[in-house]
Amino acid sequence: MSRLIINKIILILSTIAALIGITFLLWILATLTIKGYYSINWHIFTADLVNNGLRNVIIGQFILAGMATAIGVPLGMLAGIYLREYGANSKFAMIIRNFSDVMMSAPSIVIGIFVYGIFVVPFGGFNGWAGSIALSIMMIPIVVSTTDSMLSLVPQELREAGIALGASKAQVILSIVLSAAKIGLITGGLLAFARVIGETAPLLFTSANNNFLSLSLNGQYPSLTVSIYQLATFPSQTSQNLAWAGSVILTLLVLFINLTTRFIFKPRKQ
Amino acid sequence: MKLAIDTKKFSFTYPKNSSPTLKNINMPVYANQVTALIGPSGCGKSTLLRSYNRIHDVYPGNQYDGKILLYNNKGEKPENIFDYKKENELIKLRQRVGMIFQKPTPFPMSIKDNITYGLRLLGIKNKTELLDRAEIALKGSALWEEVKDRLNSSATGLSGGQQQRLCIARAVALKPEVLLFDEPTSALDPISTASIEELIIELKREITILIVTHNMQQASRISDMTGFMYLGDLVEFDKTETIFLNPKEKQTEDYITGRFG
Amino acid sequence: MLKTYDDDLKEVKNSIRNIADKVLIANKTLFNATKDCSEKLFSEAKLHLKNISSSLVDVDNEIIKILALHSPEAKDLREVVAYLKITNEILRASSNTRSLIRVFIQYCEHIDKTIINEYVLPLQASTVKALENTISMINIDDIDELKDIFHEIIVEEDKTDELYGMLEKKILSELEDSSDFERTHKVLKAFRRNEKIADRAISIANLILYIYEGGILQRV
Repeated sequence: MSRLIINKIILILSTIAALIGITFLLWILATLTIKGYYSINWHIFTADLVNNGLRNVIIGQFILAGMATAIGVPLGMLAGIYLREYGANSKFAMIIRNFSDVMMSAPSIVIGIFVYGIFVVPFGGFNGWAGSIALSIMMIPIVVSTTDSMLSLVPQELREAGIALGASKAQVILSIVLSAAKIGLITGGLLAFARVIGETAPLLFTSANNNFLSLSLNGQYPSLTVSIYQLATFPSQTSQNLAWAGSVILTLLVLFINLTTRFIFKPRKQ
Repeated sequence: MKLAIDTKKFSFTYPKNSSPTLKNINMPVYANQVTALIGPSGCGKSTLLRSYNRIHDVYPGNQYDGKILLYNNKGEKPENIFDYKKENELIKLRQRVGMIFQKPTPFPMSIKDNITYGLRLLGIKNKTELLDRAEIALKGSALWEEVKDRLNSSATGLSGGQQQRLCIARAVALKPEVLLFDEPTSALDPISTASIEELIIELKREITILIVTHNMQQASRISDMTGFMYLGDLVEFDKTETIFLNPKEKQTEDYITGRFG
Repeated sequence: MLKTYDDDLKEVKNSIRNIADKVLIANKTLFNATKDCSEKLFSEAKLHLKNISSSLVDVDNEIIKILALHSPEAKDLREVVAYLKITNEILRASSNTRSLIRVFIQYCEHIDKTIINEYVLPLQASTVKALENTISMINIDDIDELKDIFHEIIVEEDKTDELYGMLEKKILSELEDSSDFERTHKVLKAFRRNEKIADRAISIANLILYIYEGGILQRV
């Protein structure tokens, strides 16, 4: 008898907990939608920050994240390939894996300050390169981890079959293993991209912000996330509305990328 | 009977193991015959099979003793495959001694690319030549009729039995002298199993075959010579009809009649 | 089953057929020899039976090898086991024929010609017919055809029973003095062998039916 009661209690408690979580999520989305709805108009996508629009910062965020991906994904993938294909379960590989996992939880602002010291001060000012590098540093541990686990899903017989035909280890990795893990690796890259496109702290002291559209990474670089921060704390109704609009756009963007990765992964799973 | 491979006093120890998995194996493998290795789980038959193309080398730290002599069909002096130290020598060995695995291993590419994989590794680039050799290999594996209209489709779309025949065609395309089969039908249904057994009997006319199987009836059906292994020893090695009708060792007889343990 | 099994089994089947044919030809030659007690033909008949037992043992060993290597089931198993038993039947038919020939070589001249023409030759003819029908069953696989031939063999075997009965009565009724008794006894025993050969033919036919009908082995 008491077992049934305990069962029921646990069921009710866990349902309540789930509902609380979902409630907050929906509350955030609802608030964003309502507040942002009134602020989103065509002007936002056609004017730059200097003219109370968000065009340059949206483009800028993409370029920063894109450059970070161009740096971070290859480095992360190569490290992941090393870990799984060459290091396997050696002690050295285990150590690197642990370090990488720790780095994933590194405070983003600390990374920002680190890059400030290395790529901003010696170069005489905020610049887009530093921003991209800071984002890529955040990205690398994620890419390393997903590459490592995606490659571990490739069955060992597949590698042996390549070797048995006379392929060298590198040929096996390039022509067989990477092909087999293709979808997982792409998903990992997309997830890493989605992660860094919503970051603010690493950009605060590296690329800062720019009111104008700029395609050169040599100077301060426009960023959506930093803009939201700056606009939200500026005591003007226009700025506040713009901040809400930016938040909605950013949220929808990240949501969209995450959903895309789910769609890519799902139907292909055997 | 001509020799294709001669195993001489061969012992093998996995890294981290204190005692050898294979103990002093002496076993001939005759050319153009099917030699089967049978025995209970853990007896070392797969370990022995995988020594013949040195695929153990992918995992460092193994210790071995003795020789494995590989003969060629020109009648020249045989070479000890453990003398090969450089990577390109190992690559050449694996092109002469191919391997088929228990789980079918189609590469994530088209059927045509799968079959020509080994050939492209050899440096053959001519598209017509690749296609011709692919056709011959597929015909030789009784797969041509089933796939000739979809050579560019993915190999992972084939059934299990077809995938295994694809792997065989892929290995056969390299015209190896020896083919090693590691329990090739244990993951397949009875009909696919039968077609692969027929294929192996056909293949032995051109290629020497060595097969590990936990299915004794398979060994009795298709092999010419059979070796019974137990706990790392080659207990008995003889003509298949002798092993299954008049085995000399009691251990062999106990295993064959199912009275083991 | 694998092609190797089919090939091996076909060889066994052909060997059995060839050996059975030899027994048939021996009986046919015996028939012709009995007509004029030709010593030459009697010897020829005996020659056809040479080395049959060692050939049959070879076939047995081949069958055992097939069982060991191929583990047949269902109809395949019935077929292989039937062939194993058929070789025994052929062996007995062959030794019966040999004894027959031996007695005829010795006593053919002493038997009354009318008895030979009225009883002995028909008896031998029925035996030959029974054997011939049985051997023809080996390469047929249609069960209805097999059943028809089986009935014909039964008819011939009944004839041999009947003919032997009449022959025995006739010979015993004409027994005049006891000096003939040993010879008469030997001759009667020989004639009985014709009936036994026909029995063997039925056993073989029954085994062949067992292959295609299934069920369990049965007495005829």
